[in-house]
Parts: sequence; C-alpha cells; structure tokens
Amino acid sequence: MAAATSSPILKTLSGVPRGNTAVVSHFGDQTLAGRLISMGVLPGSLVMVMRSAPFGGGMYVKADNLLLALRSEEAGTIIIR
Amino acid sequence: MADRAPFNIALVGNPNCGKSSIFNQLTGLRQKTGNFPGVTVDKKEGRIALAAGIEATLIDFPGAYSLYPNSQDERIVVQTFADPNNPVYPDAAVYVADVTRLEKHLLLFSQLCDLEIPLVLALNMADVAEREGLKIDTAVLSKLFGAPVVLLSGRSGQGMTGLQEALLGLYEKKNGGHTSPLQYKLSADEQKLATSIKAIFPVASDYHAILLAHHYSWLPFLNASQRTDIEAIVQARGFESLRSQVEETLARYERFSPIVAQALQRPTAESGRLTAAMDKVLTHRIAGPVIFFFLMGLIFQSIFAWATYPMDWIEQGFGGLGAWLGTVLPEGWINSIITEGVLAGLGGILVFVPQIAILFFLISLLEELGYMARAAFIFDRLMRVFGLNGRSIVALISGGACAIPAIMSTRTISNWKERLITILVTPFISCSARIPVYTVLIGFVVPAKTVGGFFNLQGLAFMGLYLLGILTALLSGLVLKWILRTEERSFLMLELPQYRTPVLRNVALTVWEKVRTFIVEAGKVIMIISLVLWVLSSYGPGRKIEAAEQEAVALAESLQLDEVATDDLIAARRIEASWAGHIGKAIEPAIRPLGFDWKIGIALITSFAAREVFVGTMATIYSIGSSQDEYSIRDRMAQERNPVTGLPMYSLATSLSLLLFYVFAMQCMSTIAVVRRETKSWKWPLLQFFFMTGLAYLASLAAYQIFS
Repeated sequence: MAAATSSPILKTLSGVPRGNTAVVSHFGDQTLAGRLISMGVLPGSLVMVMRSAPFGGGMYVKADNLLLALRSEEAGTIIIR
Repeated sequence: MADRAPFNIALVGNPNCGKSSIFNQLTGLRQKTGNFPGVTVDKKEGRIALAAGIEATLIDFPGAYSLYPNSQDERIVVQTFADPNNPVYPDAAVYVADVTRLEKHLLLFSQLCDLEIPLVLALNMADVAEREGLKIDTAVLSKLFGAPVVLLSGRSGQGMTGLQEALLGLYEKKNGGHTSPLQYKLSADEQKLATSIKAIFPVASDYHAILLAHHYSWLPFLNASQRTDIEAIVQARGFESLRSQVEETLARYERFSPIVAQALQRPTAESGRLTAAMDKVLTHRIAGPVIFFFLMGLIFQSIFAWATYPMDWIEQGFGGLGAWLGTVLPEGWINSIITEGVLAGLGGILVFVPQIAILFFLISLLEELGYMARAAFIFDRLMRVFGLNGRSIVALISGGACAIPAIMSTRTISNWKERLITILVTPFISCSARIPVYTVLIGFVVPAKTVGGFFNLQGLAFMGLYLLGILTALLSGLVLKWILRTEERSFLMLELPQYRTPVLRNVALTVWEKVRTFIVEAGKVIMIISLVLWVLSSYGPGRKIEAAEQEAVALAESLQLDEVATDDLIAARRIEASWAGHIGKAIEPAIRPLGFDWKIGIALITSFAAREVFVGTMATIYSIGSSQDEYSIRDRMAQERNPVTGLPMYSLATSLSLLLFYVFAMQCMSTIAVVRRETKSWKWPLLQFFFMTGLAYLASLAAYQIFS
C-alpha cells in the first residue's frame, strides 16, 4: 500500500520541528485518515509537536486537547497548511 | 430474572473515558469475566439493581473510537450493536464520555444514536470538571441527542444514582420506540445503497444498512450468501467505504461541535498543565527510559521483598496443616492423598498469589495513572526493531508475572504479525512460576555473598536469569520478524491519556480478578497434576513397591539406621519402584548429556503442567513431601550424592544446566492452551513448544558439557 500521494510542495507533520504548531489540511493515507479522524484529528485541527520519541522514529503531539503518540511515517501522512 | 427477559445494558465509550471506574462503581464485586460470543475478547458483566426487584445485566464493552474499528477489541462494538440476534445485543446502552474532552468523545455516541438503541449519555469526570471550573449545560446536549444526560464521576461515585434513575427510565420505556433525532443524514448515494441493502437484509435504520456496506467482509453474523449479495450491491453502486467514512465523520463533528462548544463553558486557565509538566520528564529522551527501568526495578524489588513474607506464611501454614493432618488422620491412602496430594496441590497454587497480587497491583496502578501508554510510546521504535509494537512492552512486562494474562493483553495490538510475535516470545520472559525453581537451584550455582557492600550475589544472578529471558525474547522476535510475512499495516497512533490519580477501587478489582483467574485457571491444572503425581509416585507396576520397601527395611536394619533415616530410605526406594520412577528412568538416556538423572527426569515431566510443580515433585521424590518450602528442599538436594562419583549431585554444571532449561523451555500447559485460544490454531503453540524446548535442550547441553 503506497503511504502517501504527497507531491513535493505539500508539507507534512513529520517535518514540523519540536515546539511548533501546524494546522491539519488533509490526509495522505486513507486508512490512517479513518483512524485519525475517529480519534478527533480533523482537517483544521491545531497540532503542536511536543517532543520526539526517546529512541527516535516517533513524535508526541497535541492535537487540540488530545495527546497523541505517532510514528514518523504516520505523521508523514498528515498534510499541513 | 425468572419471570422476565433479562435487560442487557451495554457500557460503551472511547478508550480512556473512565468506563471501568463506572463499571466498578455499579457492580463492585458482583462482576464476572467471560468472552464475547465467538471471539476471545474479554467480556466483563455484572448484575445491577435499577430499582427494588428490577435487575439488569451491565456488560462492559472494549473501548472504541468509532464504528470503524482498527482492532479486534474495537470490532466488538459494531459487530454486537449491528446484530439484533446477538445474545449480548443490548436493550439499552450507557455511553461514557470524558467531559473534559467532550468534543473528542462524542463521535461514537453520535453513531450509536443512529442505530436506534436507547442510550444514556454519562458525562464522566464531573469532579475534575468542577475542580477545573468547567461548566456544562446538560439540557442542550440532551436536546441535541434526544437522550438523557447524566453528569457523574466514576472516581468519587457522585451522580451514580442519577445514572440508575436514567436507566430505570429506559427500562420502563422498553420497546417504547426510539426518540433520538437523526445525527447524520445520508448522502443521496448512500440513501440509495441503504434502501437496496434493506431490501435483502431488513435492518431497523438506514445507517445500520450503511454499516453493513462498510463491514460486510468481516461481520461474523452474515452468512456467505448475504455477504455475496451485499458485496454485489456495494460494487454495483461504486461505494467507497473510506471516503464515505471520512465524509460521515466530518458531518457528525460539524453537527455536534458547535452545540458542544455552546454547552461547555471552559475556564480560561489551560487544563492539563500537570500532564504537560509530568510528560516533560517521563517521556524525556534520556530521563524517560531511565525512569521506566527504575520503575521496573522497583516493581521486581517489591515482589521479592514483600512477597516473601506472605509466601512463607502460606508455606508454613500448609506444612503445619499437613503434619497435623498426617498425625490425626488414620494411616493409609486417604491420609496420604490428603497430605501429599491435595494439600501439596493447594499450597502450590496459593503460594503464587502474593506475587501475582503485588505485580498486578503495581502494573494496574501505573495503567490507572496513565503511564503505560507513555511506556508504549517510549519503546515503540525499539520494539519495532524486534518485530514488536510499542504496546508489546506491556505484555512483556506482564509476562514477568505470568505469560497467560500477558498473552491475553496482546489483543490491543491491532497488527496481526506484531501481535503473533509478542505472543510467541512472551513466554521467554521469566514468569513468577520460575521463581521457586530459580530459588531452589540458584544456591547451587552462586554462593550467598554480598558484593559491593550492597548487592546480594544470588540476587544479581536472579537478575541475570531475567535478563537472559528478555534477551532471548527480543532475539527470537528479530528472527520471527524475518520469517513471518504479512500484508497488514502496522501503526502506533496511540492516545496518551491525561495523568489521573489512580482509583484504588479499580486497582483492587483488577488484582482480585487476576488472582481469581490464576487460582481458577492455572489452579485447576496444578491441582490435577498434583493428584496425578501422587498416584504416579504412590503406585507402581505389579508388586514392585512392596518388594522395594521390604528390601529397604532389611538394608536399614543391617546398616543400623535410626528411625528417620529408615523412613527416608524406604520412601526413596518406594518412589524409585513407582510408575514415576519408571518413567524417569526411561527418559534418563535422553537427558543424561544435560547432567540430569531420572529424579530430575520425573520433575521435568510433571512440571510441564506448570514450572513450579518442579519444587513439589522434588519434595515428593526426596520424601519430604510434608515440607514443601524451597529451602528445606534445597537443603535436601544439597545432600544428594551422585551414586557413581560420590560427589554432590547438584554440582555447578548440573544446576546451571537445569536453571537454563527452566529459563528457556515451554514448561507450561496453560500457556500452550492460551496461545492456541488466541491464535485459533495448534500450529503456533506447537511451533512455540518445539522452538522453546529445543533451545532449552541445546543450552543445557552446552552448559553441562562446558562446566562438568
């Protein structure tokens, strides 16, 4: 299954540095999108990158008031504006 | 219950909504655990009284975010709520939402409204909301969803009577029609699809029909022809499940979000500041893992330090009881079966209760606190190297108490391959049943010396055995990762709940449930094996036992032994002539290269039931069956000489070889049964058995050949 259909100009959450905030535009992967929106991460949600995982490969984000642990690949499917 | 149909009430909500607190508040100790029909997902249910003489069954469903499930646990909600013929199909449901994060917790509720099941919306964490200055207008929500709304707290117990009143209201209105306004209006295409599906599969609501279109491929209550029919309709209409799900979800949020915003008055102060501050440390790059290992160290220290006392009491109690009964009861087989069979078995079961209780007390304390999700986040990357998932860390840690609940806890891992690997490697983690074996044998390998002024050398060796188990589990994961193939996606995407002070009531009920499960499930096996062992060691082929006894008496007389030594000799000769002795001797050639004799052979066979049976078997074989504790057995084993060399039987080489055997071997019938249940095939438990026991044989062989 191809991860994302992102073109080079699209920015994803995985590129957002620690401590910064981004707004979700849409999702690059439908399966993960289904789960993210079920949990309450929606287009328009404000996502703040709190910290990266101790052994790498993941990040801890705050989407509105939801605290969420994401793998880097998962964050890579969240396209921001 | 006899004169009216049972009233089933489902308890549903998102993960981390505090559902179990409410369940525990309502049911207390009147709860029992079973399985949802057809699957191995734990179902907790309890009887509750709605009013005098009116009882209902409250069923706790696994936490789910929506009717679009991502794991087996989450599937339960949709497969039950969409199946009116299901035995646990609810007559009403309590939907629990955390009021402090209400915007995120209403999606599933909104979906359930459209399934036309009578609902109560329970807004949990009222106490936290009050403290934070959050105000809620329940009337607005009640109007929006057409359902009663109750503000309550599973922690403090406030509002529980309000919930019971609301449920009584639903009970009295039973079959009185559904009142929720439609929460999601289907698109024109979806409407047509729903109509076509309802024509062949009559369901109550259009949304219900759409759910069949989404999930027809796996919903267990559909038969093959229904599945084909729905598939044909879905394909003919060009229905795209994922797109439809996204549109529906967004439409639902659009409907309730503005009204929720209107119903909630948030204080200006930012909530969750404490969680942010704690996570700054607990999920820190370096401090996070250090604190995790410190906590785990603390847990193991507590098990060893605290569990010793109650374990000693239990052992001494059973030893005393056995000795007393042995003198009170008349001589003969009844005396023998009670003191050596039944009491030995009971003691062998109960002696583990303190360790299991302490471990689950601490683990569920951390779970309640909200820490376990952080542990999964911290270790996800590391675990993935070994083919596991961040969530596997919970199973691996629980495996330190017992592989059985640990394997059952893997159900939260949605990826099959990661879950399977977790199941297969978890039994390598040294469980509490290995503790008595280690305790007996470790003294033969390392002396009880203190090093560095603080550390006990035997304690360090203990830790070494645990590390060996962990390392083997991880390396096996690495191997399995390359062998097993899967198409399925793996993801973490884990909600980190706000830290909350643990509710001791929940912790206590978890401990009670784990202990009860152990006594009932593993206890059965231990008891049976204890009795089988008694038969095997008390009877022999033909009249060999009697002959051996007479021979021993004659020998004792010629050696002029005292009474105690004579009894010992008789007992030893008797067991040698028994069935158990014959089996042990039969396998001796296969285990001699590992440094084991036929006595150890007997113990290996009987302790396949459960590792701790090793100690009981040794006690019986060395005819000190009345004193079951590890130290008296160890003392007796230390006196054992090799009949050929005259040197101590439990030399460094043999003891080390035996220790390694117990680190690796799959010496647990119950684990095999659980693995079969969880993987739904004999293939995996058998593979696991041969892999683990084969590895144990090779490791023991190497150790004995090197050190002897």
